[in-house]
Amino acid sequence: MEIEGSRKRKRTPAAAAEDRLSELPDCLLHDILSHLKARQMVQTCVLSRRWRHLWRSVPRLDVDCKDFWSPPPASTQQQQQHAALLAAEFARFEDFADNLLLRRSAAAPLDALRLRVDERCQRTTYGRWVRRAMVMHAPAALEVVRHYGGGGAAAPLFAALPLSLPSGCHRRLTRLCLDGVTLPAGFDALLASGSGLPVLEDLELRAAHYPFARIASATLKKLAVERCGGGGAGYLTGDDGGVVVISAPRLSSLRLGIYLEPNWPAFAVEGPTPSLVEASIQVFHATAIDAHAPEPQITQRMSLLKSLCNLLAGISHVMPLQGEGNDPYNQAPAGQHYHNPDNNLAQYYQALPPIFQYQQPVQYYDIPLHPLFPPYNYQHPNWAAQHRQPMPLLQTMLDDNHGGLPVFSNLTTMVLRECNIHVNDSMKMLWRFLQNTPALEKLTLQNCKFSNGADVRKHGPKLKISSSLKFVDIIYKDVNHHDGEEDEYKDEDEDKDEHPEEVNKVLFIMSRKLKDVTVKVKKVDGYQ
Amino acid sequence: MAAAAAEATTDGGGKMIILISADGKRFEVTEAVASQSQLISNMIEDDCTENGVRLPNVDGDILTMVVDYCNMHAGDAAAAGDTMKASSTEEELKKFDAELVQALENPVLFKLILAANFLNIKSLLDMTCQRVADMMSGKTPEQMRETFSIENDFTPEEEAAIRQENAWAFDD
Repeated sequence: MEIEGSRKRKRTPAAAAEDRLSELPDCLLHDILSHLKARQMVQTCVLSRRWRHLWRSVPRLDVDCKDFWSPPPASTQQQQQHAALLAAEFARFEDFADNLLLRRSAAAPLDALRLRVDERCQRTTYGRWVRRAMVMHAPAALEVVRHYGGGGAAAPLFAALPLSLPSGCHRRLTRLCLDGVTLPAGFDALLASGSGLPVLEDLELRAAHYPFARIASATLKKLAVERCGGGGAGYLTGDDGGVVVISAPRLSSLRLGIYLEPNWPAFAVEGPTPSLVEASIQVFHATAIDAHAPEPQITQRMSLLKSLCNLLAGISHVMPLQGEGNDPYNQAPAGQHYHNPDNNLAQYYQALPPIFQYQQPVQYYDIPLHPLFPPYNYQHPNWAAQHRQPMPLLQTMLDDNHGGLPVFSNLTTMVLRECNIHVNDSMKMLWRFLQNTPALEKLTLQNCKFSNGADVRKHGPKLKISSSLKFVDIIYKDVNHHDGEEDEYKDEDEDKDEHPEEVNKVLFIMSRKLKDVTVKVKKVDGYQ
Repeated sequence: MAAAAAEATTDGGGKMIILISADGKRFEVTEAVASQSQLISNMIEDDCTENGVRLPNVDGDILTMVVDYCNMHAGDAAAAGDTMKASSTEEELKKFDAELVQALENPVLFKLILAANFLNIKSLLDMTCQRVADMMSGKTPEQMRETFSIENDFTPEEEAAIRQENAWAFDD
């Protein structure tokens, strides 16, 4: 031991001659420091003279309140002390953010500011930092993200973000990402006016209230609106829960995450969007629909679903492509875009189980499987009265003479995730849906639940499946796989006997229905 | 040989380009692979790659890594065309990147950063800078000095004064 220690000591001075890091030019050290959170970035000022002022010109700042919070207390005794700690911690965070923005070099361009706050950040402070950052540093990208977490009852609404600032503050702002924060009054007007956000190209709104009727911008190229409600009492709901009209002629990428819930707004695209090459829609629903749901709730959901389908079908020139599954709680870091470069474009459907609780991040795999889109189960009151069986919402739409499902004439690839598909009526639901997707080439059923639903013996016309369908992938979780138990199966195998009964049933039905289609089955362990 | 290589074309891969490292090692790559380097991409546009591209700042062993990286990521490039014969899945790429970066030791890592910067390969630069940041992350200034052999050239009084001045960023 001692020998090793002395050897180490000897080696240190020799190694000190090789400080390759400090030899890098400033611009590269700035790049490296950009990847650190702001607090640690500033702390590098004491490393050596070389480092003393580097932090002042780092082009990207990542300010995270969590760097200042101590872990939650374990015991009740600690809890009492902890309460006193909270105030001190917040004061330290406030002091840090204030100083950082004041002392950073105003001459060095700020490419991006990411501010991560949570419910402990008081109403006014984070607004102050945003205002100060905009006025002093005019960042090219601003991201304000609210951490979810902490138990608590309803989290307080944050004060509106101060974005209506003297013109010039937004002169460089090309990207704006607001997650879980309140939009300022007049945000829609700010977007629409050419002078308010003159170069904004990339707008992401997540878990925000969008109490306006329009998203209009002449400059916008990328738009993502996810988990955005219509706002509080001030929101004027129309008959169908309100429609947000998107009017952005230069749009190239559109991502929507929509709640199939009463009082959540639907979206519509207005005017031509000739440069749109990427569009994706996620459908969420927060609560299971119970049998006794009032009729208006059900019709509202149906009209939301319809408007969603119409939106997709209406983006007619879009080249449909395969999209990747996207877990909204595992977003790629800022600036990175999920998007398969080798694919052309994706319209995909996928749905995740209940989410959107303000306070807690939801681990979606903990939630029992709910039937989702398309066979979205609920009990239609009239029908249920007769049959006492669940009936898929989509089927209701298909049966609906007054509108029904549009034809997705461009859709070539579709992923159905966590859908409930009934097998005892030969999966009629699915085939009926496929009537409306004449161009579909590849269908993926991922983690779908194949169950025996209503014993429906309705005799409908024989359905002809689109001849363009060439591939079906079935990906399923091993439901019999218990925690800690070794899986004896391989990921992929051709031996039908090793699949569960319901999957074999599906394969059997498909082999009869789909003559020239390659059907592949893949089993995955645990949760994917 | 360089001239012959410049004329050689593969079926779908476009022209081949010769990259020559500081120590004279030669690497033959397709234009699509090489143009992930913005520097080389510009040279291709200007039509000045015929006699091979000399890279006096980049050693052969570093260039080997860069070329491996570019071959692996050729599918990313918009202009990849038909060159994706070994089209790698996203998963494989991630694994490749993680292994590449994890294996990097101090001196090589910084040489690779300089090469990525010189050749202007943004994704590689990002990845390597992230690696350095990961090595710094969670460390105290003292631990950072130790990790990177940074010599503290402040006197104790100076260091105390700087800590005082920036006390808002430190723990106490």
